[in-house]
Amino acid sequence: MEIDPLDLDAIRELVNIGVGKAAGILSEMTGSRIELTIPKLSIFSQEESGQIISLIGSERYSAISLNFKGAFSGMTYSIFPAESAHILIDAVTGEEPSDKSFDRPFSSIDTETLKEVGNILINGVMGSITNVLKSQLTYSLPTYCEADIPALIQNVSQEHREAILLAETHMFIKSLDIEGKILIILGSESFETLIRRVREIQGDKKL
Amino acid sequence: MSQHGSRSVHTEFSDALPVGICVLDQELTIVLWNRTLAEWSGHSDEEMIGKNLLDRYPALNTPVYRTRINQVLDGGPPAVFSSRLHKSFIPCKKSDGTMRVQQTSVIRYPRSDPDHPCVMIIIEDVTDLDHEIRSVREMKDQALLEVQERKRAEEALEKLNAKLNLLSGITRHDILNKIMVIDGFLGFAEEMATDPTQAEYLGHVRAAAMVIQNILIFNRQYEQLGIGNPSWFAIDSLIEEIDTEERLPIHSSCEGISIYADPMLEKVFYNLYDNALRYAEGASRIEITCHPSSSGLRIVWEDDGAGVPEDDKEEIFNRGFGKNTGMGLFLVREILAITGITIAETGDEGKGARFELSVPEGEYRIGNLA
Repeated sequence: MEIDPLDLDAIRELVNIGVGKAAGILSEMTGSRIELTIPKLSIFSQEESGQIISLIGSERYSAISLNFKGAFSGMTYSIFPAESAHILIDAVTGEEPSDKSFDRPFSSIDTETLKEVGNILINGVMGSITNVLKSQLTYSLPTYCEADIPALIQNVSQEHREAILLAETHMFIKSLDIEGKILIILGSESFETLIRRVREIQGDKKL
Repeated sequence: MSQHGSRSVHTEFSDALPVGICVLDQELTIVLWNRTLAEWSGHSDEEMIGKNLLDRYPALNTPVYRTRINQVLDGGPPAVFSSRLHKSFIPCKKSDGTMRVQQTSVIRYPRSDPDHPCVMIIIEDVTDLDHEIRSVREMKDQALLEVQERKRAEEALEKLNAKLNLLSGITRHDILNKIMVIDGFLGFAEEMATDPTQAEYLGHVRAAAMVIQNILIFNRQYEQLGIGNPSWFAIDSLIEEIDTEERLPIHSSCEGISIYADPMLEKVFYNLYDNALRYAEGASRIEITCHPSSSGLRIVWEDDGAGVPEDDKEEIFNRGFGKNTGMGLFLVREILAITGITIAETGDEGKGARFELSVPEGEYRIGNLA
């Protein structure tokens, strides 16, 4: 399916609404103003997934995943480079670790905290998308893992990884710049459903 | 109907689980409050069912909780609440008065009517895990603090050591210069001395000056101990470097064996050889053999000279023992000790001296150095 810039704009808008909602919840929760930048959106086919690495690097990420099934099936990841993940945990918990090295391992309490933040981001974005799709999905509980991009894509079942939406954003908490990305990995049918629905809405708007 | 018969399968099932479970309808009214949660919270299901959760727990009546629970009710993905950001979703005191640390998940629960879904709140008690992680973190923080303090102390010691070495080097240099002057003038005085008593006294002065010189030379060598990082040395290469001048040939069967030692290791073999030249009367050869075993490597250095008297076997390693400087074997033991190698004299008097070096397991290699 050919994607035109208007489709891309519309999806970016959906992701942006979701990210905005997430920022509101996170700000309220932490008592600090949290701003999320307008995401930069790119779309790749499974064959083009190698380009993601050249775009964002081959490092290992702290990833929070959410599996969804229904009219629209696939996996959404909220991913953070290790350095950003550590800054994020310290910023939202207000803790000052004595060991400030970014290669220190994450404890289970750390990963649980990351899971909550990732969960809020994913829920914001998925909420916006499902609102548009107007269909009920079934979700798994969010899980945490550390892996590079190819392993994260590989983790999604074959039929549900034909299209990859990559949204890159920056989160600013107490003037700290935290890099985060959202990966939505879908089957081609699900992706077409999303584009079709987005186009219908754009058509409605034009009317 | 009996109490047991009135309970639904959902309730029976949830009561059997070791996690707190609460089900809310769309108005956030409690429709299920399982046994675990009743125990933890101190509120029975009879007390809680039919009540609004936010009325019972006003702390949850904030957008942080309301928005996220409503997102789930509206068909959104599950919401998780971490123990670090929300210590207790439902405040539950333990018998010791401390609060139960909780990890909470909120999921959509269709129950029997998909048009009016509920949300299920699942609460896990992670108090023990939380305490364990915090105590590990505290230990780690304490260890890091100690490491930092030790590092600071080491840096201060290094600076102090450098100053002392500088002072000692300058002092040594100045004294050696003066000894050279004494040596020169003693030469003139000895030439001029005609009185044998006077010549004898001058001889004593020269001997004392030489002892001072030897002490200073030893001092310079000892100062180098432990300065260089230990590394691997092939025994045969060190033996080959000893200039035997055919006086006392050395035969080694330690080919391909290397040991991990202070860079001053060459001094060890040199001093053992020098010791043999001085004290091994009648010796014709030196034999070096290596004996690897499961507990380490034993290096045996033996000659066929006079040997060491039983009473002196330990004494010879003490500073000041012997007819020369009295520093040679003392320095040998000190150099070896840096990497845990020990040395002992185990020969029989009259049959020759026998020095056994014990190298710990892992501190020796057989084969070429990589």
